Amino acid sequence: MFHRANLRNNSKNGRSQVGQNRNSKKKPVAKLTLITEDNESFTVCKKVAEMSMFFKNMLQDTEGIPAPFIVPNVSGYDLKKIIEYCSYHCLDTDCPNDNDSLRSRRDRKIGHWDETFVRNIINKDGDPVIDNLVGLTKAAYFLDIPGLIWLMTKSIANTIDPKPIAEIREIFNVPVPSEREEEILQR
Amino acid sequence: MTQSVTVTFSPSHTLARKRHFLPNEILVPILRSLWDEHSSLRLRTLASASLVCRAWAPAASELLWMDPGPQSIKRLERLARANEFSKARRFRQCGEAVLRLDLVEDPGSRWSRSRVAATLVPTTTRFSRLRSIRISCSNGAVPLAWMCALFRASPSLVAFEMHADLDCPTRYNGLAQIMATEDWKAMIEGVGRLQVLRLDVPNQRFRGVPFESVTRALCQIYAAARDALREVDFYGFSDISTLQDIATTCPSLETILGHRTCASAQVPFEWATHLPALRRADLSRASGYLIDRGVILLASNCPHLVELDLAGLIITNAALEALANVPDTHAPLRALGLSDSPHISAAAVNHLLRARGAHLTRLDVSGNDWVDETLIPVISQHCARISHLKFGFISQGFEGVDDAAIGRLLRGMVAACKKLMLVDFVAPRFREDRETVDPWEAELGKFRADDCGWTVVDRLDVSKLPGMPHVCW
Repeated sequence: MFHRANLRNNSKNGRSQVGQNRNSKKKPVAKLTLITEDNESFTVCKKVAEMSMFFKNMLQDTEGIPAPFIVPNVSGYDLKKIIEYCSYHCLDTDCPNDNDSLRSRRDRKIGHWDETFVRNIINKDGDPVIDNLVGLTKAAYFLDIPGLIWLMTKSIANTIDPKPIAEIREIFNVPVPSEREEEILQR
Repeated sequence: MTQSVTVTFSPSHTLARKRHFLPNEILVPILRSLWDEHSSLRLRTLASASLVCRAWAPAASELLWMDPGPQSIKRLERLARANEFSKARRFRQCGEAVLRLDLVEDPGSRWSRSRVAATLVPTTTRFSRLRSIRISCSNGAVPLAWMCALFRASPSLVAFEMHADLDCPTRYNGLAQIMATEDWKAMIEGVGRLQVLRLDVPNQRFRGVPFESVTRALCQIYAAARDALREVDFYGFSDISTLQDIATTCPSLETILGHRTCASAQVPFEWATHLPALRRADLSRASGYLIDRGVILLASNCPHLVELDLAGLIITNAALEALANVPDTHAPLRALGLSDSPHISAAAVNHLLRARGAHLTRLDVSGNDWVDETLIPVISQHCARISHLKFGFISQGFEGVDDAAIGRLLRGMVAACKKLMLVDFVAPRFREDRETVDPWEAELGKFRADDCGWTVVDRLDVSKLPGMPHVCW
């Protein structure tokens, strides 16, 4: 799966290397170490990190590879999934962005790999999958990765698509509004 | 004595879960993914989303009313008829959310345009954010006064599309008086900001339409809109000499749609030299005024031209030669229409495809009997990106035509286009009473059986038309 780029996970849980770049012997690849808020560390190559506008701007500002960088607001699980996504898509040229029209957003289809990626977002700590989807969306938004934001929002939209109000409230755990509030909404 | 009872609560996800506060930056993309103007189910979900909680309501409502389809127009109408416009604050907000308004009636829909128009008149000022409007001006559906007021009330209106059907030609009799009014003058001032102008008007060839006043009115509109205009549609315009005026004063024009236009007098071809930004030109069946000279000027003076439809024109191989021999700095052709062009040859088309076919995605060579098997290797080697292909034959179906050869050609063409998604195979069937099945139909059946990702979308059945000497698609 991770044939497109290099990804190494150095977390204390002793996870092994998840992928290797076949061309890594030919040319040394600039790497960046990221530490999440729950102290998991990841090493990613620069190309992968630059999928995130947040890191891209940071790397441009610092003009070089900085020391291990602490990523706030992002958990280890989310960052692992983000790196997985970016490793696969870092060579893509056609990424969705905020300026796309509604029709082009609607017509863009979720690819096969992306579909598997979303399906593999497992139940972390027994939480419903939607929690992980929302968490990952927030992380993607924080790190500013347009393609992942599109994928996550589309997946969440597909989750709630043919559902009535009560079920949407249940999915997002939104409390039922009071009678007065409901009246205002209805009006 | 009270016995103590220990109560153990089972861990409940619902209680343990925290509520998701979706910030607007995330909520809006989610709701935008739900938007689909063709799916009432998706719009219903959007309507549900607008009632989830107060935080979701504004974003969902705005999307819901952005492009109201006929269903929503019905609701607009109901609201209007109940005289709720003046007091319903919600509707005012809805009106402000509308960005695109389509008032052209779909065939078979029950609501009447005149009723809607009558109810929409007092709503003009509500549509303050409107960017695009599509209306029909027949049957008194949309009073001109309303249109004029709309232009005044919607400062962001940039696209205007008007259809005029021929049901009621007397409708135009009063146009001369209307053009003398203040409302008309105000509207003419308002159209100066338009970027897209599509006026589908009756042709002078149709009976009873006082086309002179229509033409004069339209010329005024074009003349007023020329500053910002990017796209014009002259469909059926009876006096194309206006094109000369517009082209000379409209250097930013990118798209010209001139399907079925005709010229009342000889038009100089120099209009083509004034449009350096032209990207798309549909001049199909523009009778009598566009010949080789016009195409040669277009080819040499429009470096950004990527879509060109020359169907039904009297052009020869010289025009194709000019298109093939443009400098490398010109943009690559992406769509080419050459249907119903009997005066060109397969060799000239092959030469053009070899020279400029590398980026071609749409090719239309239907209605030509010169299409032969020499086209197959050219498409296979030089036109790797064709995804939409349209072809067919005028004489197909007549006695003496080798149907098996047509079947082979169809199979070869489809096999040559590696990225083919759509085949539009125009196949008039003149011989309904024939007992045997056409061989090419059998070939077609094989393709359908293969799961090769394309479909035959158009099978024109003209067998019911009496005495058809030839077919014009």
